Amino acid sequence: MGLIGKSDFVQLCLKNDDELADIFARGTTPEFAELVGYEFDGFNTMDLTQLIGIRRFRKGFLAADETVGSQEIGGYNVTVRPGPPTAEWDIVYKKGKPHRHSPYRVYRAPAGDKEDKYPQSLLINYDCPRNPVWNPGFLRDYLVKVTPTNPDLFLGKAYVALGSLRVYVSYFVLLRAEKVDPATVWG
Amino acid sequence: MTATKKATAVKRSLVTGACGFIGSHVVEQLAAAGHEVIAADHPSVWEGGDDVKRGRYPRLVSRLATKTVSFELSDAGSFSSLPIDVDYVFHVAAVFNYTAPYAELFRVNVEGTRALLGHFAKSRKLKRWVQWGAGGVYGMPSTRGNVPFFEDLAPMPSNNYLKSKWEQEFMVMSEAPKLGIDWTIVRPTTVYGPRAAYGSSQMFLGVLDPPVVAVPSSMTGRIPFIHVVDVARAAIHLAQVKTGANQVFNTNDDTVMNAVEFMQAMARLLGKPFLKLPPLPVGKLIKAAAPILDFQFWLMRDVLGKQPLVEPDMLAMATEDFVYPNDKLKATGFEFTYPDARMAFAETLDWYLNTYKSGE
Repeated sequence: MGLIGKSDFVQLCLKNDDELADIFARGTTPEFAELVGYEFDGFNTMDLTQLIGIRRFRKGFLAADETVGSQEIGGYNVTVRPGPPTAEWDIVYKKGKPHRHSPYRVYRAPAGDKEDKYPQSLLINYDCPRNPVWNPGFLRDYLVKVTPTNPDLFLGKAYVALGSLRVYVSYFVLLRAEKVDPATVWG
Repeated sequence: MTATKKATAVKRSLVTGACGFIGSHVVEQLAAAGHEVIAADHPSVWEGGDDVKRGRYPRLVSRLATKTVSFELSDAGSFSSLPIDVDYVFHVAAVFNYTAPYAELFRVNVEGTRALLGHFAKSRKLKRWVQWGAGGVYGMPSTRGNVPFFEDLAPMPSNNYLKSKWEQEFMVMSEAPKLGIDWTIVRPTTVYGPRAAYGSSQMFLGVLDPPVVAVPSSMTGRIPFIHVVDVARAAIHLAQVKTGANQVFNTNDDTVMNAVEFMQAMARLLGKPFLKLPPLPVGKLIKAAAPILDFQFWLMRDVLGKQPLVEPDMLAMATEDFVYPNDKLKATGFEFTYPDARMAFAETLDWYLNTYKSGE
């Protein structure tokens, strides 16, 4: 990733919620092909996340298996030690491998569905029964591409699902980090 | 013939205060733009090496400039060292200190500049005198009805330093036309960036050591910013465009950021927890603490001869809401390298952490 991309990423990480809301509203829907097979450095803008150790993270995206079809992809989070958005992402390893967890489904929320909050976004839905029970199924993220011309920079908006309520938690910024081999992700 | 033409095409610029924070960046930008640069500064500055703690860069500037000269702004007798066959003068030199007594500020900043201007009256080549003003000359927003500080608003400086800067500006506007010199005044706001050791530096240095960055939620006054590279570039640009002649320009970027947001950004960049404290009447607290602040000011400056720990005049700005339109600057065709200060906060903090702190 070039310096310009990193600079745009850092700028987004420093913006306030009002500014991010404006950028999010102008965002466009990411293509699956722009996500699948890559991990992205992520930064939560909610300041409490610094204290609880989840300010920084990684998100990976994988093609869904054949039973799902082409309308959906999958993904997971990777634990990263807290730090500034300018520093290297310090990934936490477990048993010699990056600590990957919290799988999710990624798709466009059907029109009129209770999850259909932002039509220009992809829904990252952690409520996926086929995944282990420990996944944080109460989370719902919405993801947009910041500008049509930059395929590496994304802005997300995270909610907690409380019954039918959706409570806003934080914005997060994603920057393309590296390619991953799907065969090695969970293996 | 070609060589002669080429030689005459090179622009020759003189920079006063060349070794300081802003001056060194002006020299750097002029050299990058192909100017022949004459760097002028106080004799004592040239004697030492680069000193990040004092914001002095004689070695760096010597490498960039075509020629270096010594002069003292308060001593017209020293001006003979300054060549007058230059296309542009960038007059950055001044006493920039909120602590200095008014008599000294007036003697150097106003009377010294008046004499220097007179020295260049004989120049047949001089195309523009670029005078460094100060964004602070408009005064405190709270005493001006919180209106945006457009360039045509009459200045109402709130302290001795800014009073001397306004008097300096006024003198240039009045005297330069009589001497047949075209002038441009730049009024930079909060100039930040690598090499700053005073002024904006306090905002960055103040967040480096505490484990937590905390600020009262009532600190919602907007802070104006301009990166030092853009100040230098704007001055060079304005010197060379007709629309810059005999005009005053706010030199301020597009950032809209209040004190809480600034501290929040610092916390994020440093990877520190950020605490938004309950609202506090900070302005009233500063006023209530005025006797203590004034005492330490007197003790440090007048008794011990040192820089005060807290400068009441600078502290007073912390609770104000500043808005500086930059439409006039943009209308001349100027484009910022750093339109949003967030673009350069990271590199600036990095400089304080890795260069300033280590005293290299």
